[in-house]
Parts: sequence; structure tokens; C-alpha cells
Amino acid sequence: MRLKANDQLAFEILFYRYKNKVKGFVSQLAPSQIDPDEIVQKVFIKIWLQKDKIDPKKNFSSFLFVITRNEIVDQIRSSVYKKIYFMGDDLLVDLEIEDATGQDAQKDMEQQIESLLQKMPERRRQIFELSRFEGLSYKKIAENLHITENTVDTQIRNALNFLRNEIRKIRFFILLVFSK
Amino acid sequence: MFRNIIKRHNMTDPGLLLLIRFVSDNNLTISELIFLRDWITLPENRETINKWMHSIWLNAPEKESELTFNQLISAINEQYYTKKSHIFGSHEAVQLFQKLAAILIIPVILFFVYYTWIRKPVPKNIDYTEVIVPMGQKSEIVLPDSTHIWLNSASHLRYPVKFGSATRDVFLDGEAYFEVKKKAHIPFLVHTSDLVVKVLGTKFNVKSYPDDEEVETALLEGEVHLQVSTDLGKDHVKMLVMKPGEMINYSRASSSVLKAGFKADEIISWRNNRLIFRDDTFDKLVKKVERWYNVKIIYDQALFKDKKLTVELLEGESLERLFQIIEKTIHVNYKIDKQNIYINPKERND
Repeated sequence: MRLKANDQLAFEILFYRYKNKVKGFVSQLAPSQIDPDEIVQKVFIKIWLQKDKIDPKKNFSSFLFVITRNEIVDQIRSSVYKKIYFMGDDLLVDLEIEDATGQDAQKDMEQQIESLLQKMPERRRQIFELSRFEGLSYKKIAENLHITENTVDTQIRNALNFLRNEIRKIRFFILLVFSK
Repeated sequence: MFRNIIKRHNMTDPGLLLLIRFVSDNNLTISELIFLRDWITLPENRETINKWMHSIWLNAPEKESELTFNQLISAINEQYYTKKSHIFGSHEAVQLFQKLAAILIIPVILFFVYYTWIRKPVPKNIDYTEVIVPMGQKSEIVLPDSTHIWLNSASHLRYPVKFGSATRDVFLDGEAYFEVKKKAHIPFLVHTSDLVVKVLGTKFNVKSYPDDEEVETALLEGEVHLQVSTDLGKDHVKMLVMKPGEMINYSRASSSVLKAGFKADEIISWRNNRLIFRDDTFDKLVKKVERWYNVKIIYDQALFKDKKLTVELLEGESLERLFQIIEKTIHVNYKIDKQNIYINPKERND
């Protein structure tokens, strides 16, 4: 393949030749809440960004595999972190909720948090997810995003305050409905 | 399927078993999840994960992906490149274009042959909504894509009930101010009798009244492409790129364009219900006034040929007030009779 020569056409050919292969692999491993095509897209974006590393003498398929594999491992890892956050005590501590709730309630909470996250400013949500869902330290996040640790701290505080308030509202509403 | 993989590799690593369970049913307990989290992060387990995944890579059947190359390119551009340096930069674009052109030329020729000689045109059935703003009134509408449009008096806008997936087309006679909702891959096209304005998401004003000599396009924000028909006929179009602060006047008589600047307040004053004339010819003023107040002005064009006027009215000022000003500045008599206004030069002796 001639992708090495900075050639978009070669990239397009590669894309169409391999996208179904990647999709087939990804579909078997992708965490259920993630659209496999989204991962396929991420994989090819990475290939584009790392096109200089492609060795034309070597098999492209194994390069593709490594990129895809790394991507899927990242996805699985963050999905595990997320699951632990939702199932464990961390969420309850973050939200300052004391009573342990049942399986269904926890599923609800998961969905509520996910949809509340969508309402946050992009940057704040990103920082919150890196901290709570990816398990990165404040220091790491600050380094990755080129911001200060203080900013990370403030953003997470704001995110948590927002989630707490919204969840309280929802719970209060449920109380009202069910006490009638 | 997973059972097969386990057997074939004789894998007994508890971490791997958990990983396999995680990706297949996702029903792990909290303590299993924590075990998996720690296991997956340990560098010495990388090899086990890699081997397992490689066997899946080799055995997984292909699955149709809906993703297109265009979507991929837009995603790359959006995430990693600024507007100025898209991955299809000028030098690369030319190379790519040449290659694509070489590949595409045959199907394109066949396509054109088919379209021009073989295929009978079938009218596409699209439902349109029409907004007609009478003289003396203005209107404000929001399209299905949340594009905001203000329509000036005596204007007519036609747009599809539902936008297609490739373009958003609207058809305009008259004057309108657009605040187009940005949609990266779906250009917004304003079709007027003489030119097409193509944008992705911007603020701009288009003035194209059938009885005006010129079509004016003024850009306030973003970037627009103007597609102008030339006197060589319908198939010869000229593309112009506009920058904010520019106005392009297209002359219907000569099919030529003139680039100029403008004052934003002047262009969009009509939206704030203010009538402004800046160095306008009398003919131009008359047309604006007729549309604005829904009146007919009767005057001798020859007598007012060289008169130019600058008048700025406040919000919602009356017709009476306007003519009091005009009367004083260019020495005319006026008479308002219901919808008709008669204008004559003042007698010399008074």
C-alpha cells in the first residue's frame, strides 16, 4: 500500500478494504453501550494520524490489528471503570446518597447520570469522565489537557454539584409521585 | 464461540475468563469487576490479552460497516485540523483531484450521457412550504433545521417541509436575513433568480427583488460561496468566495459583479424596523418605500434622475414623517392620497 506517500487515495482504498474487517472484530468485543462503527472510525482516524509509522514493506493488516486492538482494550478498560463507578460506592459517595439501592434503581441512576452528563459543558464532562470513568488522577488529567490541577478540581466540584442537585430533584419528584 | 476460543488456547487465566465474560454478557459482580480492572492494567497480562484478541481478529467474520469515507474525513477535519489546514490542503488537493478526475471521468461521462440523452426527467416530489410577506409587513421564521430567517416586505420564500440529507435548499424572491444553523456536511443553499448563495453556517443578508437592477449579498459572519450565472448562459457559472464585511452586488443588466464593503447596521436595519437610505438614488428609495409602507409613488423619473438621498429613520417611523424630511431635503411637494403618493418638484417661485 502506498499510504506512506501521504496519499489520501490509498487511505480511502485501505478504508474500504478493511472497514468491514475491523467492524467484525470490534462487534465481538465492544462494550455493549458503544456503537461499533464509532470504534471503527476511531481506528481509522488513528491510522491517519500515524500514517508515517506505516512500513510499506510490512503487512498492513498486522499494523491495523495493533491499532484496533489497542483501541478496543482502551474501550474495555474505560467501560470496566465506568461500571465499577456506577456499581460501587464511589457514585453514592459522590452524590452524597446514603441508602444502598437495588439493581433496578442502580440501572436508572446510570441512565440518569449519562443523560445529565450530556447537559454539561463539553470540557467539564470530559474532565469528569477522565477522573471517574477512566480512573485518571487529577495530576494526570491536568497534564493531558494542559490545565492546572486547580482547574481540574474546580471542574469536578462543579460537575458533582450539578449531578447532586439534579439527582436530588429527580428523587424528590419520585417521592412526591409515590407518596400519593 | 467464546468457549471454542478458550478451549483452543487452553486458557485458564482467571483474569482472561473474566474479560471474556465481560465482553460477552457484561454481568460481573462488583468484586469481579475490580479484579478485572487490576488484571487488565498489569503489563504482564498484556501478552495474554493480545494473543486472545489476535485469535478473534483472525476468526471474526467481516461485518458491514455503515461508515463512509466522507464521514471519516469530516471527523478527522473536525477533530484534528483547524479550518485553515484541512487534510485536503491545496497541494494535496490538486494531486488527489487529478487522480480522482482520472478515475471518475468515465463514469461521469456515462452519467451525463444518461442524464442528457437517455433519461427523461422525472420531477421529484418534494413538499414545499411557502411564506409570502406582503408589502408593508415583515416576517420571521425558523426552519426545521433551526435556521432563523427574517423576511423583509414584499418577499417570497419557499422551502421544503423536510430538508434532504445532501443540501438544504431554499428559494428566495425579495430580501431576507439568514442566520444559518451550522451543519458541517449539509450546505445551505439560497437560490435566487440570478445567483445561488452556498453556506455551511453563517449570518448574511440577501436582497433579490425581481424589480431591482441589482442583487445584493452581504456577509456578516462566516464564509459564503456565491454561484453567479454569467452572460454565457446557464451552464457557465462563476464561483465567488466572500469574507465577512463584504458585500457583492450583482448587476442583472450586465451580469457582472462588484465587490464592496457595507455597514452592518445599514444592511440589517430593516430587521429592527428601521428604514435607512444611504446615498441611495431616488429610484432606489422609491422602491424601498413602496415595499416598506405598501404604497404606490407616482413621480416623473426623468426629473429625479440625479437626486441622491441619505435619510435614517428611527424605529417604526411613519410615512408622513419620511416625506416631511424628503420634502425639506430635495425640495419637492408631496400629496398622500390613500395608497398613492404624488411627488412633484417645488415651483421655482416659492
